[in-house]
Amino acid sequence: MHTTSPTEPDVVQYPDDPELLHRVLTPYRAKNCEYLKSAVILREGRTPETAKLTARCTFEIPESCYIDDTGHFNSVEFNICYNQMAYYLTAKAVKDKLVEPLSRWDMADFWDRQLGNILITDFRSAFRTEMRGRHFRGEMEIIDIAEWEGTDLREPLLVMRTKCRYWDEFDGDSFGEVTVAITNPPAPAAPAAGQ
Amino acid sequence: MSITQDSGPAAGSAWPPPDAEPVDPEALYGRLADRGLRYGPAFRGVRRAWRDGARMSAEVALDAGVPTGDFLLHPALLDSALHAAVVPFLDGDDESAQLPFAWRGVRVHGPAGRAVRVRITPGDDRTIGLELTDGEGRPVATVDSLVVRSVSPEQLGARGGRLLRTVWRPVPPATGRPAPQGWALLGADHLGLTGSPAADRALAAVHPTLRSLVVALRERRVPETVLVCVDGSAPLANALQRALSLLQEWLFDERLADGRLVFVTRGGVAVRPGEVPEPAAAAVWGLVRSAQLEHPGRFALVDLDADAPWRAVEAAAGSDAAQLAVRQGALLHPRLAAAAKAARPGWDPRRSVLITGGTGSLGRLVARHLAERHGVRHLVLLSRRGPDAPGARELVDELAGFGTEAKVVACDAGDLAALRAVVAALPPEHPLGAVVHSAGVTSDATVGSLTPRLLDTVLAAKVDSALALHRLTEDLPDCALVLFSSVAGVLGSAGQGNYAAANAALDALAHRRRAAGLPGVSLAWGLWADEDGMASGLAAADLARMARSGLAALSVEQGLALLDDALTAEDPVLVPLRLHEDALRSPDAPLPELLLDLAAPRTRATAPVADADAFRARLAGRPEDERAQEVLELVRAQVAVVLGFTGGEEVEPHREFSAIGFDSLTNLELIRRLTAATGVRLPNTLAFDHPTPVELANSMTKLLG
Ligand SMILES: NC(=O)c1ccc[n+]([C@@H]2O[C@H](COP(=O)([O-])OP(=O)(O)OC[C@H]3O[C@@H](n4cnc5c(N)ncnc54)[C@H](OP(=O)(O)O)[C@@H]3O)[C@@H](O)[C@H]2O)c1
Repeated sequence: MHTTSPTEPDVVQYPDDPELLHRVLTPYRAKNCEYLKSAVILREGRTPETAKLTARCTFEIPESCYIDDTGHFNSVEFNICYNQMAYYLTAKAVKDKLVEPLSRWDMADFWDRQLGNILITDFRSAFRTEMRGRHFRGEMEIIDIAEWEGTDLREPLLVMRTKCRYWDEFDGDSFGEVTVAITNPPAPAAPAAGQ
Repeated sequence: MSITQDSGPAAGSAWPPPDAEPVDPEALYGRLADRGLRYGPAFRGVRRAWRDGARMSAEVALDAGVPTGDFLLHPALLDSALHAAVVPFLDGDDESAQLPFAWRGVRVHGPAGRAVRVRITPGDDRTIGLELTDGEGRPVATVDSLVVRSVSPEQLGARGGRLLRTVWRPVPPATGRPAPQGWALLGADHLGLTGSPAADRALAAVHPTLRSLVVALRERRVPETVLVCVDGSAPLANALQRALSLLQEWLFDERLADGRLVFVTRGGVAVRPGEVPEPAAAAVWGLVRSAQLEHPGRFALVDLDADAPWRAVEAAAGSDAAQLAVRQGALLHPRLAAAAKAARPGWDPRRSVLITGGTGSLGRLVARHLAERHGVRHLVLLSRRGPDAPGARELVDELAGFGTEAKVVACDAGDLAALRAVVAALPPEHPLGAVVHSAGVTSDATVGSLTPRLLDTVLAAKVDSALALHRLTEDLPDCALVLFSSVAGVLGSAGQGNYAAANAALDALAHRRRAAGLPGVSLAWGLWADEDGMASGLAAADLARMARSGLAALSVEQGLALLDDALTAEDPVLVPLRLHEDALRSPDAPLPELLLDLAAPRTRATAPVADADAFRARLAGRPEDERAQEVLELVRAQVAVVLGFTGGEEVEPHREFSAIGFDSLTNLELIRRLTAATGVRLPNTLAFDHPTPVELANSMTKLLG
């Protein structure tokens, strides 16, 4: 088969958006576990239909929010950091209309769903070498977002497959594959008149 | 050869030759075709022929659609003269074709016009002489001597392809499997399965939604078999998406690992002549067939007829067959069998042929073939890139060399308005005679990771455009629609559930057209060994998997010969392909069930179970490190099979699977093989969690206990 675009797709950077990050992390603030410090989004591909998004993030865990110091990055923190990246990446995709179908949402759609409708359905993590630093980096990539219509069997659903990885300057390394479901997605817009 | 012109000898003996036996030109071309030489109607120039021992005489003429141009003697006329000339050489009972080889003393005496008489006289040792005259007996050309050589069908490369069709054979009566018990129905009852006392007795539960099934699972009420009805009247894309979501749900929930999900359709397959399948239900069959290949034993397909749906389901319950149809209470399963040829009209060279995907790999081959062999003079080659497609200009030039005018158009084959404009622009003296739909894309993923978008991408290129072409030609009752589908739809294709679904829908569409009295056929091609077609992306592992399952690739010559054969056959859906003859003969190759009637008798599939028992017995009681070593050898050997390596020693124990070419599909196959070899069900994610042969083997050793 031929690939339609032989040229390297364009990559556009969306710099850290502290205001958005602040709002996205609100649910974590009182619990003192705002781990995600900054995130740069990279978008490959020219249109929202073909775009691929990656978030490049920095983290800091001054002190674990649920356990005495274990001395290393553990799977619960892996998960919390993932959630923060995923919320931010989703919010940014909505705000700047980066990828289908999130580009069809507005911010109110996101804030309404952030806590109740965005759920992890499959979570796999693997720890290759221990991470010991308080500061580290993380990256998350959206592999695809599937839009499932409602049927007699289940309600409509978005399913976002993602990959993530964390590393620190002491060669610590862990990675994972996570699937996120978004229930109750906003109804698709009616087709424009004349189509 | 060099040709000289002179006034020539005066010929003029009696015509037709007295004492010679007439030879039927139809029969003559039949004999040539048997030896791999197939000529299209425009090139079958022999109008009458006579034979007197080794002497032949014939009248040959140019087809009405072929212009004489500036030729004194049109090459097609000379060529036709030779069709008659080789007849005496066909008497030997070998299967060789006879082709002209070396010419001596060729002289043209005068213009031939559109028709000539030919006299052929034998010379010494496989040579002949030819004398061509016009209708009045005036000399046109002579050939002093022509050497004829024998060429085997293998050398011609035209043999070895098969033209098959799906037939439904009765299934031997069930061997004592109990009536359904503890079954569940999931989702809407589109087919009226429930409501009878028998159904109510047998159905332990009816789960209207997935959520209600999950609740049952949580309470450890795990059904052995879950039935789900397919609504064939739903829009195709919706029916397919629903089926895909179910398949994924089934694979995702480990608690269902021992259960079977049965898709029940009505009109999903054409079992008896005249049955017309619903494209949506047919597409679900294509998708589920692929899921069956990826996850054997977990999914089944049952197609019902109109009467007593629950009784039919009960009948089917007695069989473990993965694919069944129930007709009037009898169980049938699909098998591929040879298709019969019949006489049907071929290509009309005066009319235009539209080829979608005409700048793609098969599209080009077909264009060239129609121009060269069938004398088609007006082609429209359509693809989204159109003239920008690589090689488009060269193709047009090449076709012009055959006297064929080809127009390359950039157009989406699903855009009916644009298609209508293309047809409206055809010269009125060359109206549309046939459409070959060769446009298509693949977008491969295992059933577990397909998405609605990946379904839509493939459906758009294949099915939406087939429907548009069907509408385009609906009002042209003598315009044939030749759909290029794939054997993937018939057999399923691991890693290509979306593509299999689209092709199965195309096959259903061909049935619908025929039922509506419109000409058309769907050709469910096997793989072509062409360098840049869809098959070109196949890795060694894919080819190895194909060969194991009995499929081989068609050479270009074989493919084109099958195209010609297929257009003469009766069935609305034909399966032209090449089979791996060694795999068919080997009693333990893992052939798809549909090929079993074409293969040597099989040994029953109890062997793997015995092997697995033996393997575990070998491990038992051995020290830990020896056990791990034994399992590692098993892993390496199976990795080698999956990737098509010659042996396990080629597999490095510490290299990551992803680095040696593993993907999600090969991953699944590895786990499936290791499960079969050990008799212990291994989780599908095992090779993700343990990404090298050594790590995988160590974790398996623990699981094997
Ligand atoms: N090759 C094989 O071994 C094999 C085996 C079985 C079946 N088949 C079937 O045979 C057909 C041809 O296969 P191939 O190997 O020749 O593939 P190919 O080389 O990839 O050609 C496919 C052609 O279809 C065109 N196309 C795709 N979408 C289109 C659309 N929406 N409208 C118009 N044109 C479109 C493509 O050109 P643009 O991208 O420019 O549109 C391309 O020229 C396919 O339908 C395939 O399913 C092939």
